[in-house]
Amino acid sequence: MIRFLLRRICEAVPVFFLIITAVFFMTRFVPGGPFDSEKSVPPETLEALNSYYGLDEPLPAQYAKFLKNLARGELGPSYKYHGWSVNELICEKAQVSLSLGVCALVFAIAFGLAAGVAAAAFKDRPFGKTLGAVSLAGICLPSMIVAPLAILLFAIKLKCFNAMGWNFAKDAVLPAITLGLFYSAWIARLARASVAEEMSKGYVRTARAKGLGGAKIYSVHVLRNAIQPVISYLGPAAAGLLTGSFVVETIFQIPGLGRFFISSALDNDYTMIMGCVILYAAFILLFNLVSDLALAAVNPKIAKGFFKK
Amino acid sequence: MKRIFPSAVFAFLCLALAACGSRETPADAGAKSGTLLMGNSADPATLDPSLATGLSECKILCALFEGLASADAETLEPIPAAAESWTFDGSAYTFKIRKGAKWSDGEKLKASDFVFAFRRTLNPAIGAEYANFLRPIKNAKSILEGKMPPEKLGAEAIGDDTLKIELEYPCPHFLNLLSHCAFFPQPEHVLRKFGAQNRREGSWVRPQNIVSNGAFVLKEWRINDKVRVEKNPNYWDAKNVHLNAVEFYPISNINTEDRAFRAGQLHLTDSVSAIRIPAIKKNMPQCLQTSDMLGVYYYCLNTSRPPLNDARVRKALAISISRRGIISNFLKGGQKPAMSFVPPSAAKGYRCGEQLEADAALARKLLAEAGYPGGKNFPKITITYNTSEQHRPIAEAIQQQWKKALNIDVELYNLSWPAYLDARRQGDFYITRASWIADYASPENFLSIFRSSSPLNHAAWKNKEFDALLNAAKTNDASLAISNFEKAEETLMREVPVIPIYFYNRAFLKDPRLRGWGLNPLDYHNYKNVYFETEAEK
Repeated sequence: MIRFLLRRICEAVPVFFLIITAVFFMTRFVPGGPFDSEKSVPPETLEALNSYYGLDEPLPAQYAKFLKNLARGELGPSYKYHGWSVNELICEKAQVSLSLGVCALVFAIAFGLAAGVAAAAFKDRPFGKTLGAVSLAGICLPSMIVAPLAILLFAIKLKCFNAMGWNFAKDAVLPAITLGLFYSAWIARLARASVAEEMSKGYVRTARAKGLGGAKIYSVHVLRNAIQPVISYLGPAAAGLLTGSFVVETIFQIPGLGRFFISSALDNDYTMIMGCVILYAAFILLFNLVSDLALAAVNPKIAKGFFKK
Repeated sequence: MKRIFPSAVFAFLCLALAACGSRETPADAGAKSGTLLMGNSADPATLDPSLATGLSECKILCALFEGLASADAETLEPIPAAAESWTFDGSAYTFKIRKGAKWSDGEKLKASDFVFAFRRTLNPAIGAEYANFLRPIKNAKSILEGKMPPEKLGAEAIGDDTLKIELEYPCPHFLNLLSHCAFFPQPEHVLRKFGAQNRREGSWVRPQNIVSNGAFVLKEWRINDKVRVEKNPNYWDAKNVHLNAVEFYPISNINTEDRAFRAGQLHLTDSVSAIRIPAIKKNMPQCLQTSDMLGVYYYCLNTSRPPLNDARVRKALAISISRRGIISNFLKGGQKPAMSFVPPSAAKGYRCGEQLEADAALARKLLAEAGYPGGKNFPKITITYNTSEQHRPIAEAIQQQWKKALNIDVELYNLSWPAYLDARRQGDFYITRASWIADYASPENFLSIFRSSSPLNHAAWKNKEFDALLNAAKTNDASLAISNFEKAEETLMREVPVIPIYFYNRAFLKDPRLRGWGLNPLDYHNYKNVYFETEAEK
């Protein structure tokens, strides 16, 4: 187990290093610089700005400096937000995105699994078919449509939630549902397909023959096997959800990290781009590892395969 | 299972709806407590007056700081602010600092705080992008270029209460500049404490550290969330400040802002989408506000590239555009067509004699004279614009209009914002869309873009007569200055290095309870005299 973990971590380090190196040089090769504006900056001012942020040094020297700072956990000052460090901004904003992501993830798993299992259990009845259609609609409807509709109904007409902001616990309800809806729909479809498949297998018939009740068959036997595709899907999905969503954060005006992913790239805010990429890459690698471990936990066969390698 | 699932869904819906019903919205609560909730298009990148560049930052800084003069919220005429009076002897202004003017920490506001701020902004080490604004002050240009020490600046504190500013050249709009952030004082005693006097150090503007001299003080600054300022009890005119607080929300998405207003979370929006205007006129006409803006949307022509190096071709292109058609079909916001470059509201009585009226027959004649009769052999040229849903339909409409009127083919080329700025700077384009929003009310702010020496002159157009007229406009005689600006613009419109398309206007939503909110083309506000009408007053 520990060897498996160590090996996965050793594999992750070069991948992580490759990602940040590629992004570091890609950002520098994008036309324009962080201090471009519609109203042209005088050359002497630009010189002062480049020298203040060390952008006048040769690229390899900038890269070496970046790696040195990264080793100490420092991502440098944001080029856009004067006087704010990237560490400070990411720490503050990641908390918001993380809270929203956790709410969305809980909603997605709870709602998705329940709907998936119910759809499989009642697959030949209108209720099951309706659930299948609803989950398909959930996948097809993008959050940029669901979110404004939800705001129109619940914030503007019924006035039970705020249309924007992140000040009270209930401000998380609409964004979390909007953000989690797509994922819950996917989970529902994955769960439905795999539960339906498992239900046709011999061990279920055996369990029924033993006289086990429906609830026990589902919770003890079927779900354990049927949940595996959901777990594989949850790894990257969790990384996506927890690092924030540009669309949902923009529509609900939530001060999270998601908006920085796009705005930092548009502003050529090099240090902020690096910060976002590092965080996202770390989350992806971490959650893939976690989902592998979870798969191993529910399926001893997989565990055997993993730990033997 | 069969029964549990639908009941769970039902219980969830009941729970959700239980929270609903009529409630006091944040806007209602704000109107009662005197807290103005307003949309601010972008997040402030800084609140340091030396470093601020955007309108969203200036809106907040105008609440926090006060310059020597401020501007009337309706007419933009300079009015005494931190200086109670001033005199002008033809080459120097002498300002009397207001008795009783204080910093928010209770320290006296001194003339030296202005001198300190101006020198700091001009210090090349700070890298202040708006340092150019101080150029009318004697020696400012040399200091900015690092050729002179900041101490040589022509701004001098005579005692604590008198400030003398010598001008490098006659500048009739100098007093209009004083309400801009670049001219705000800075508390020397605070900046020294944080080591920010000669560095780009940002910690002094954090809410716990900042000291300001305006009607409000900074209480909260959360990136991407909100900025909250509260009434400054040490402000000299605190009795005329009726609001207790202002909250600025950096809402970049125009639809989010619109929904927040309708849900009762804002009193003012920064703008409103043109598509929404008909519905707003029908459902809540009392909330819709419109005002002219000192801004122009235009196409810049690269005059160093054939065939655009021929003024006849440029003129032919400019007069074969139907600006009214573009406005009524695509923009739909009641903008005014721009037949010349400077908006008429840039100065009182200003009018350019040369107007680019649409005339397809003349355009075809000019193109034929230039060697392209009926558009024959006309080289393929491109229109470059930054990716945006607004720029694309305008470019497509112009592409079609030129094909129809002149029989020429134009390709469209869209780029990301940084790539577009880079292409413009490198001169790597034929025609590029551009816009200019003025920082102060003067034709000079628009026309100086096209000076031969201007780094903003992306058209690469050089004209000695035009430069000479702009130089001649540097005079203390305001009417002579205006007439020279008019002549300079007539030269510009004869040569057409630029095709003006429309003048910006601004539509936004305002809570009808909010009073004293002046409309002006610079969207300048110092939040004094703004108040909420209470139920009792109605």
